[in-house]
Amino acid sequence: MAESTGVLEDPIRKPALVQGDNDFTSITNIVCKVAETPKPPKAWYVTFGISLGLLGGLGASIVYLISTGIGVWGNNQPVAWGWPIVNFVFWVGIGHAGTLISAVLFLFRQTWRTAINRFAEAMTIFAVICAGMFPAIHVGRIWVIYWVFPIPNQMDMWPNFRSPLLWDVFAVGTYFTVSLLFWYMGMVPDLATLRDRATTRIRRMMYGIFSLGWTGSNRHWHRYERAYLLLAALATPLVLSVHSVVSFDFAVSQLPGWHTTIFPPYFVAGAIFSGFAMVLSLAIPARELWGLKDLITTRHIELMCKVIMATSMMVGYAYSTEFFVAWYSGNQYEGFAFINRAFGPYWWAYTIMVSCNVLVPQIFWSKKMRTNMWVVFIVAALVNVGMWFERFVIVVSSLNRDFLPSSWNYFTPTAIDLLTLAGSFGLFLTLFLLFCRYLPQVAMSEIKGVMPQSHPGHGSSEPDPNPEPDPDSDTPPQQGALA
Amino acid sequence: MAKSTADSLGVENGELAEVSIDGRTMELPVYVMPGHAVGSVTLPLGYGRTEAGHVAGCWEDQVDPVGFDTYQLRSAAGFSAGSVLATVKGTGKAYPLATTQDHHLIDAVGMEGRDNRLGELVREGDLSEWKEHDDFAKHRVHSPPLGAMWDKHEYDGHKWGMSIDLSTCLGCSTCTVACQSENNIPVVGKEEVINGREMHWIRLDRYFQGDIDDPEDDIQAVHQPVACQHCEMAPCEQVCPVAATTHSSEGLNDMVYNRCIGTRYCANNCPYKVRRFNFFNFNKDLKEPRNETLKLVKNPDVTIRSRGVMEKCTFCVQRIQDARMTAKVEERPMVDGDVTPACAQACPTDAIQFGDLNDEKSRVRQAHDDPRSYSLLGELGNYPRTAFLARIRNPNPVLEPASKETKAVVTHG
Amino acid sequence: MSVFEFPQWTDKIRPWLGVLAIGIPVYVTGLFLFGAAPSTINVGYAPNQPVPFSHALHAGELGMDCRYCHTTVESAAHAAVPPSSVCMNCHERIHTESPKLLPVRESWASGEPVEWMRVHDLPDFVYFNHAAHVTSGVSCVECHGRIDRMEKVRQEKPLSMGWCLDCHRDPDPNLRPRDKVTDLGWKPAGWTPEQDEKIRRETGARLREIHGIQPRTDCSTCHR
Repeated sequence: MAESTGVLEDPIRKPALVQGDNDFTSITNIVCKVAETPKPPKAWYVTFGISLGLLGGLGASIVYLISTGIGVWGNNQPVAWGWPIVNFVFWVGIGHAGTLISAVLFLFRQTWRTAINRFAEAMTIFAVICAGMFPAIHVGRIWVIYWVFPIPNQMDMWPNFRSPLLWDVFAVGTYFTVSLLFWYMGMVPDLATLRDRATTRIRRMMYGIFSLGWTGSNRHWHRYERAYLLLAALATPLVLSVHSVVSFDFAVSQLPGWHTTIFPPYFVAGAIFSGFAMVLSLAIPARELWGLKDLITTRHIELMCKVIMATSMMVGYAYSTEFFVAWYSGNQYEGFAFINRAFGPYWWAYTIMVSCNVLVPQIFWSKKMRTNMWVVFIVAALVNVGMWFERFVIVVSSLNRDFLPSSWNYFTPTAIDLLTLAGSFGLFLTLFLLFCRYLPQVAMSEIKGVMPQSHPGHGSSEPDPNPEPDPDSDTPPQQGALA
Repeated sequence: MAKSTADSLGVENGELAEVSIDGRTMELPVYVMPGHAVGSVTLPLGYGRTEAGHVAGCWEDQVDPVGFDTYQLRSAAGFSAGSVLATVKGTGKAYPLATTQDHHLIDAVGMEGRDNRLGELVREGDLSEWKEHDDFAKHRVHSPPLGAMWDKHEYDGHKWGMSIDLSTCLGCSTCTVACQSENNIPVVGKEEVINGREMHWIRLDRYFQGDIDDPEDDIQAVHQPVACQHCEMAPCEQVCPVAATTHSSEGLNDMVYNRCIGTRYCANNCPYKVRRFNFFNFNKDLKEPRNETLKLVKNPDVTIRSRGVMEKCTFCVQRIQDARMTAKVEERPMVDGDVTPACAQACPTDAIQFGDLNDEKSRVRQAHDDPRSYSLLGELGNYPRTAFLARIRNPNPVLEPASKETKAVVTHG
Repeated sequence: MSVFEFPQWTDKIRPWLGVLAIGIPVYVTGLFLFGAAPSTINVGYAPNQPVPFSHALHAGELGMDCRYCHTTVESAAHAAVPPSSVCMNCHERIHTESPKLLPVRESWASGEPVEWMRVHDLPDFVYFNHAAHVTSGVSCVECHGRIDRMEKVRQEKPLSMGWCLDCHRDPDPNLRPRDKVTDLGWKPAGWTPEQDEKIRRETGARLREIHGIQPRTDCSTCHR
């Protein structure tokens, strides 16, 4: 599992989690500078412009879709779910790394998470926003989608609680809510730091309101730690539950290629796999761009590469198990579904999936590759491509040939399909770039907790149960403040 | 034309070919039909509409003519073109043909999968086999004992069911047309058929047996009408998040258009792929003033579906309700024959029977009790409501050797 | 520059913020539920008709049977709105010069029907059958209210799906002998104002047994 990668190493030879000649003040400066510089780097403007353009494309495609009908996409009979569901599962999967890093690694005391958790959590939230959009726009009549919520009504009708789609609504909804709380709560001390350093009135007001009157008093820290621990415990089962429930959408159905019990663990492993790949794809450019190399060190990148390699092999194992079970079941429909996957009309998608997800990450056996940022970035990008194709293979190649050969049909996406997918990346990147620009990208208070300076007297990097208050936000409580 | 003929002429399915007879030439699309007499070409007459209004050819509104008028190739000399020598030459130009069958040419992987399952889907036997074991069809597929995930429904009153006799079915598609007009099913047009979005509630599945590349092989066509099977343990019902498709107290698999939000999950989970989705508002042009009369074509007892909802065969529930009301007003119980769905009514050979399975004397119950009856994909545990009656072939040995495929299936043990 | 602090008065509104956070979604949902419910927006609908026909006078005071005009109610899904000739059966002799009746006379002369406004209008995807209900002993009054007391017809009942289902699930209080269906003020034998519900229910249960009435709650009963 992911958490074992850090433990396996000899603790004596662990490199420091924060590199360079940094103390508490310099950490604060590095992180806050990003949000405080009046002008971000040019690259930010360029990517932001492109993202906004894609976002506009998304908006246009959705307006066209809702005003015209689902037929603007390539969906047909028998492929009633096409790209929108592929995209949905893809984005939900991306959203997995956040909770894993923030909750599971926290509970397992994996201190290296502090450099990347804020990042991953933000990515999670934006990915879940992208994901949540797809089931909503893919239904035929979006104007009555509130019928999936159990609200008493004049029709005396409840939703069908047997339907996995309904479980999905609750699973993704819960996941989003908890992730948002987690992300925001963890950010409060850092927002207070930004507030205290703010130089303009509007910044003081905005950061002030969102830092909820944080003063850095012992009482605040005590409650904060408590709440963080509780939320982590609450969020941990969600890491497993969300993608398990998403996989039920497929596993509970009768379709050969979907109807399989391996789906929940296979989906969760795949989700963590793709989530970490996305964190890497974002963290590598960001640490270059904003000068965060001392905080997000090569060691962090390397550890993430190891997680990717481990989950890649889990996913590969799942692929082979699927084939074995299909053959071993003796069911000709099941057997055909998998033969058709690998050798049928969508053989190319299957090939992309296997090479990107199973073969390419094997390069990380070499330390040299794990520490070469270009290699890591390209592999992470390929893993994202591969994981998108995994969902494409599951959805489209299973649906296009099921039981009755008379209904077999090929699925071809339309330009609107492409625009919607590209647009979802636009939405994701727009939100992410705004986050990079205006919010603390790295959890300052947490990273200080894992620095040697926070543990005078012993050089361990274990977190202190009661870390010292952040000197920067350590303003004395004043009368009337929320104490 | 036959596949081997097309190969020897160097033309492909959906390619425009130049056909010349006696110096008269036309460009016509090639449609490969396995089993067609080798070395000959069939030109259907009576098509090529030039002035049929908005559906096919209208000069004022710039609607192009549709189809090909092959009368242009005929002369007074030969009323039957059968004896006329024609030359056929490929042009390389593509002409997309829309068919509801064979949506794309099936590759080798698909053909193998198809051939493996065909004997289980469309069950056939010859006369001698039937004489030996009249319930041979039930033994084509063996599965472990079937369970049920939920409690089975119980029916005190009626229990509607259907049976389709494959021996008497001609594959004429009259049922499809009757259903289309009874149930206000939209005509989606050529482009959407090519996209795989036809709306037929009952369709004729057609498969070929034999090697279509071999000109010597005796190719057999088998066909099977498939509509919603109104499964007892319907996979579609479980997965709808808003309960828009539910089981009625009389065994119907009700589809409620006005509740449907269009997740299309039911269509994915239907093993028979009989569910149809309104990808667009196919009834939009009803609102145009020129289509005032078109409104009169619609059956007032059936809701006109808008876009974004799923639809499928209802067993003509409007006719069931109507018969129920008539019986109620006349203060008598419903009897066998009171309800006839459009497909059964239109079937020229009475291959489709419909009625109450709880009524032991009903024709449909007798068909269900027939030893030839079997369930399509019954081994999935859906308990479909429609019984298929296996086809019995009794070919004249002089005219037609028994199909190889059929023989292969007979020896299953 | 001084650090941003929440001013002291924010302490006072803090609990209210919590109330609002929960209260606003609940309020919006409630507003939507009750505001858009048929019982809110449809009940009381009483459009002006081209002819100020008074059901109170004809059905109430004069005691005309509903079926005199709405002839098909016992045998068809639709309860027919009478043609002008039915009005003229009497009005050829009574109030022949009344200006209120002018549209009826014009319609009778020209053959163009009077354009009555529909009051009880179900959505097009709902198939309601009058004959099924009337022959089961469901009175007009159960859905239309005391029409015989209305000067101008108004919608009395919500006609919502839940309201239909209430009766389909428990029809007993709304059943009566078939020959009393159009007697809007009918009361079962031994009726007292205090025991209205109880006595109606007992009578209905008896009738349900006799006639074998089993209202169905399948979707296809009304939607098809």
